[in-house]
Amino acid sequence: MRIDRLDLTAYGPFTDKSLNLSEGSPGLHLIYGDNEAGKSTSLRALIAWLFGIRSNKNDNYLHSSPQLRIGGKLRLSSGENIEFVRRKGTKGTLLEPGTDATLDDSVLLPYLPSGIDENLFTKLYGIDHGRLVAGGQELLDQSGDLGQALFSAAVGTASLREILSELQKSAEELFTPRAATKFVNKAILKFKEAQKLIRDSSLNVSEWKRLQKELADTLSIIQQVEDSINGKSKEKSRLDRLNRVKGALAERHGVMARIKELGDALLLPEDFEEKHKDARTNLINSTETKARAEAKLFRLKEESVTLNASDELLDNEESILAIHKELGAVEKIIEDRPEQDGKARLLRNEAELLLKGVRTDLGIDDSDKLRSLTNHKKWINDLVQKHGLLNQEKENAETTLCDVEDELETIKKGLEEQTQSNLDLSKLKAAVAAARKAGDIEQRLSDSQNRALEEEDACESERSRLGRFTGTIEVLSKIAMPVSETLDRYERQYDELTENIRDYDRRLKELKKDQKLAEQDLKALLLTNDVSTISELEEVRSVRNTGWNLIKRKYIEEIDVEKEIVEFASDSDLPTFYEQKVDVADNVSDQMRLAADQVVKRENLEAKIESLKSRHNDITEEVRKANDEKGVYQNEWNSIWEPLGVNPGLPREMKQWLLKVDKLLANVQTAKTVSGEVKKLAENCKTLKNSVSQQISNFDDSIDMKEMCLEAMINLCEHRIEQEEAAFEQKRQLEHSLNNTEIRIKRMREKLKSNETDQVNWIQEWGQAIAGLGVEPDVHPEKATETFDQLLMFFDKYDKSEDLRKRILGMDEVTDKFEKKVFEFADGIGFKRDGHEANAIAAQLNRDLNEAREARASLKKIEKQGKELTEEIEDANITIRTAQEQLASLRDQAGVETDEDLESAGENSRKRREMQKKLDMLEQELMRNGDGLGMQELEKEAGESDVDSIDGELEMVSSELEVLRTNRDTCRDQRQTLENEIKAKDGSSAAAIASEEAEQQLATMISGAEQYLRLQIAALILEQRIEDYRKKNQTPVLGRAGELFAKLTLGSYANLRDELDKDGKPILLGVRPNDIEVSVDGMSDGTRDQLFLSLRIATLEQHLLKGEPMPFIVDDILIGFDDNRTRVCLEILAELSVSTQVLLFTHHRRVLELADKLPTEAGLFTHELV
Amino acid sequence: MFKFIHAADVHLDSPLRGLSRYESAPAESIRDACRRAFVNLVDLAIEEKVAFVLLAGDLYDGDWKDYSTGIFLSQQLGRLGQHNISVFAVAGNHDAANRMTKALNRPANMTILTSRKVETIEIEKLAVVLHGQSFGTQHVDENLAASFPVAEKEMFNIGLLHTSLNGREGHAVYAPCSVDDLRSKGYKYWALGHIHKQEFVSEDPWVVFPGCIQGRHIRESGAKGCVLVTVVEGDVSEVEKRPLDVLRWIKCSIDLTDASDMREVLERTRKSIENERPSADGRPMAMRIRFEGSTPISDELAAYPERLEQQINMLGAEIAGDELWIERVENAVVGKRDLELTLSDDSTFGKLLKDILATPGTPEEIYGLKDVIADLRLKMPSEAFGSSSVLNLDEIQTVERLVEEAKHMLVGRLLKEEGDR
Repeated sequence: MRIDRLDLTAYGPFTDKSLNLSEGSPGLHLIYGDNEAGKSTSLRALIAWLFGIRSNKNDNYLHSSPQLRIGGKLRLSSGENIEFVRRKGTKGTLLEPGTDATLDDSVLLPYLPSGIDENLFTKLYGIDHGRLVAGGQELLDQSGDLGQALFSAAVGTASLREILSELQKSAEELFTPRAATKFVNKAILKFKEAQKLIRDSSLNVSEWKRLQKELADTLSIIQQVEDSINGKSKEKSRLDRLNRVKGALAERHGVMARIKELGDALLLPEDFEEKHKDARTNLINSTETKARAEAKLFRLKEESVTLNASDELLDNEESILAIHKELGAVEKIIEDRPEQDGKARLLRNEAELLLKGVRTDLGIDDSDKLRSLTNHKKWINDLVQKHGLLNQEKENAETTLCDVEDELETIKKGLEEQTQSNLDLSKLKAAVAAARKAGDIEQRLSDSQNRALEEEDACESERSRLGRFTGTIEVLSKIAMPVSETLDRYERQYDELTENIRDYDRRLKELKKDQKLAEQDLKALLLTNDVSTISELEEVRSVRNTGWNLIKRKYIEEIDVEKEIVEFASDSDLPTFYEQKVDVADNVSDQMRLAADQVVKRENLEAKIESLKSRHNDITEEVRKANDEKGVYQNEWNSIWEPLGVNPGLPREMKQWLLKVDKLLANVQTAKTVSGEVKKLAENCKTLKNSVSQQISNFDDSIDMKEMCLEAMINLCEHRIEQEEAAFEQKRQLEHSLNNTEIRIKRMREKLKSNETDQVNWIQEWGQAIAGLGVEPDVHPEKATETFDQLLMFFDKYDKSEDLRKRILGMDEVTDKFEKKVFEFADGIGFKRDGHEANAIAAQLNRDLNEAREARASLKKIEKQGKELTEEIEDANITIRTAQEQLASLRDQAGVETDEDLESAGENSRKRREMQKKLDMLEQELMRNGDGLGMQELEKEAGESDVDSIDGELEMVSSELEVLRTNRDTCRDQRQTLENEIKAKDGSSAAAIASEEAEQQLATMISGAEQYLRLQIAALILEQRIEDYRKKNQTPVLGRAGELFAKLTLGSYANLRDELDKDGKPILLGVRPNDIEVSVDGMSDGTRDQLFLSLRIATLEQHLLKGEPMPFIVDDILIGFDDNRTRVCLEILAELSVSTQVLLFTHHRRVLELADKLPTEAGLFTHELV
Repeated sequence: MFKFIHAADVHLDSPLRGLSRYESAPAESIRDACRRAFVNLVDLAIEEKVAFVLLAGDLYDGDWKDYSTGIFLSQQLGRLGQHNISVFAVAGNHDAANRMTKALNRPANMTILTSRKVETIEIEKLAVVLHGQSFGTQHVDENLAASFPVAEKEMFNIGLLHTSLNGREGHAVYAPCSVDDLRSKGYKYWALGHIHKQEFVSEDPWVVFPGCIQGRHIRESGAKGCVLVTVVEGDVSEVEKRPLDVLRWIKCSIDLTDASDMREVLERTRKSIENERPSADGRPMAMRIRFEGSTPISDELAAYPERLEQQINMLGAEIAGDELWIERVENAVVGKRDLELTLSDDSTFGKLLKDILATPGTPEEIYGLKDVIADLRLKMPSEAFGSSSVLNLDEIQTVERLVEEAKHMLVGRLLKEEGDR
């Protein structure tokens, strides 16, 4: 299959771009396009056309996805072909060109067998730079393993080794026979652990039975031991009991003996002794108490006689207390009065002095007349203040008036000084503005002038450099130069002529060379063999024929031809001579027949030489003609230029020269334009200067403006304008100030007038305010205020002295009243006054009253004590009586006569009771310790035992018990252990869970092992296939690859070879021309790439030997190659293109250049994607 | 009216098989599944206030030696005793093989019928007569049913027997008999055991295999449990299926026809798993995922089976968390186009693929494979290669299958490697 045409109708950046790939047999097609031109896109389009437009490609930026169209034509080697268009989509994307009818996908089957999809196609029939580099790297990685190298190259993939090693690695990760941590190995270990756990935690039937039996045995042992413990415990408690009661029993015997000893002693009540003692004590104590109380009563009676309580005082107790209370206030007044009196007098004197200062005509007691004046205080203060304000106001107004009037004068003077300018500013400004608008015209003028000069100079120097023409520029510019068509015609003619002449020369040389060669050949021929020529033959034959004619005429026709005979055969007879000539002719003829080849060759050579000579002559003639033509041409040529005064060169040179002339003339034109500008600017400048200078002369004609530049003039004018405007502004301000000042003067005068009126009003009011103050009405307000203050102070002091005087009067009244009251009271109760002051009397009365009150209290106390003592004596009498009665009754009870016998009777009774009590306690104790046994049983038990051996027996029993208990505890522990064990196994699911774990590990192991086997099998199959391939294809492919490799490395390597490495595996080696072997890892990256390419092309060629060829699509694999290698690679591709169509996509123009010189058998075609 | 429960093939403490461990596998939620299912049985009996429970053999596995299992069984049956529910059981082939049966400390309410002869028990107050015979040895080849007595008149006759009837696929033949043999006795209900799949063999009279109470591997998929039988006036009025299993085995086939990329594969898997979920009624599931159909990405799927499995496992964990254990991922998809045709191209690569696919599945043909298998056998326990294992290397089909999978994996990787370039 080959691609005849690819239509990029609407795809990527392309619209209706078509590549014709139908030429060649099948041919190498170079498709050039730089990246922007869409080299990659076109390559993608080619694949998309064949296999469908992928949805994820971004080639729809110019044409929308539904519009994308790629078309073209495919052709089989049988000539069968198909044209179709591909659109984007998922189904029915094949269209018939023109009709857009959907084609069935199967129409492509003969061209692209159904197995070939995009993936496979690019892999098998495509190679790009990336895959090339990957292939080289792969060769290195697999250390030149020949099988893999061949296979990788053959299938166009570089990753077989990766796949193989990944398979092997993954398998090893799952399982290795001697590891423990790999996936499957781990599962195996865990499975075994789980199985062990099942065994360990399983409870088998016999184990279960054993446990149950052991438990039963242990329980029965426990029972026996506990029985023994019970027996021993009883014995121990009996011995313990005896030990406990033996002391109490002995004591009991003693007590019972004592009770017997006391015999018939009367058992009196328990409190008998106490009662006896109490009665006796009461009797003695009461007798003593009675005596003491009687003595005390007597002393009290004596004491009461001495106490005096005055009834008069006590009866008037309240009045005395009231007087005493008053006494405090009176005593204070008496103390205070003199001080107050002094104060009052002082104040009055001060007031008197103050009044004298105000009104000498008035005494202090008449002062009330003035009191009404004190109400004027605020009024006067206000007036004083107002007075000050009015004066201040007046003063200010007057000062301001003066100042403003001065100011007015100044302004008026200023105004007078103002001069009036009659300059017309508007015109001046207009002139300046016009000049300014023109910009820096002088600078521009000067620049332009400079430029014009430069341009002219440049033109001139250009003209002088021009050559071939000696005239001036003006002349030059007026000359009508020949048009370019004429020059082209002459150039062509010249080229043709020159070419012809050169061609003739070359041909002449060739002819001469050929002629020389032919001559040499002829010479050689002649040297080796004396070959006759046909002309020689003809010559000898004509001699022979002449002879024959002579013979015929002489001998047959018998004509006399002696003369001719002599002429023919001068020195021999005719027949002999004729015979000789016949022999000669036959000889020549024979010779020619025998050396026919040489004859022909010689003839040919001679003909050739002849023809060459004739051609030489022809060409010489042609040369001459051509030279003539050239002469004519030269004349014509010169005749064009001479009239123009130009010394002509070759037409090509003249074309260049004319270009220069054009350029020069263009520059001349520019120079002229610049000069024109200069002139215009100069005029403008002059006009402006005139207009400005006229204005200047209007205001200042003293200035000489001849040398002045325009800028200076403008500055002068602007300065003037500024001055004028400033003056005008000043005048306007002065006039404004004048107005203001006049208004202010008027206002000030009005203010003064109103102030005067206020002053008059004030004087009147002031007079009213100070009337009666004793000052003149025109007194200064300060003075009047001072006097008024004095008056106020007077009233203050005077009023205070009057207040004090009234208080002193009140005090005197109080003391008088008190004295009277005291005296009356004292006299009333008959108190002797003896001339004492009322206050002393009052104090004495109070003291006497206090004494009387104390005496009354003492008497009351004595009375109470006497009563108590009397009662005490009566109580004592009663107690004495009762005690005597009790003693009598006790004597009756004890049956004794005397009080002394009472005591011993009581003692005997008490002893007997004590013994009885002790006996009871002992019996209680025995009951308590006797474990419920009765007194008699205890006595019996004790009587039967040997008391002294109790401790020994007890010790023995205790130790026996201890042994038994230890025994029992051990058995109980044993029971507990068994019970625990049973409980632990009782229905436990531990074994079941372990068994589940084991199953899960088994399943895990199995799934790992399955995957392990899959991986191993895949690896084994792949290895086997690679090895098979190597065995089958190694020889032809390796041989061809060696050739290609030698070419691609430019002879740096001579061949490829396979050897066995140390593991016995075949590996690939490069062979240098000197037979040195280089392993793959000893090669450079580039060389490895070329090695891969060699293998790849060799296998492809191998494949192309069978079946329908497929185009080989090469994408820029030459990126890393230098020119030589690129050329060689192109040669190899060109060679390959004899077998199948090769499409080489590139974006390096250099590749096209190198390909240009390539001789090809199949044809080489270049396509540009522009 | 009274009710009774008929169950069989409890196989107490028999482990779940074929669940390989993976990181997110819900190991906790499936623990003790058999025991929990049995507790469910006891709970159901108490809840339904049944009169008695019939256990038709195979209480535990024949080779199971842990007496704890027996104790657990007794404890649970003892719970029934507390509710006055009797238990009648016959020994099946597994029980007969196990020493535990004779040593079993059976509770008072449990009766195991003798193996010496057919034993008949009358439950007077219910007017029920129960006939049954245990297996005395593991292999009982005789027709036990033949010696069962004919029905007692006016009574509700029940036959209790462990049998494979006239043979059932996947089950060994024990105590063979025909349905006619049973019918001829005139009983109302035949409580059979041995077949793990529930089956109502006949409805007149009722001949019922209740199936096992908890599936233990993928071949025992679907709901598992017992039957609850209601008897009214001497006749069966209702036979209800009652699921008891705590973990359900589910086979989930996923059609990948025309799935164009991995995302779509996962999406379809997700949907299928979610569709299957309700059928488990909230129980944890052990699911076998099987991909079928023809898809253009079959090569991609075949290239890295372990990665595919991981992805499915992760997806399962994401969808159902602790409720889903992916038991196995089977990839049975085929290429969109016939690969042989695809490879009709004569290129080296095409030939390579063709040669790979043409490799025969016998170890002899793959150099080095025998050693690999031998190494594996030496190291791995024999259980791994047993007859019930997916890795039964004694069967040529196993090796053939692995070779076939390896070939597709290799082809997938070769093509994928190219696709990546």
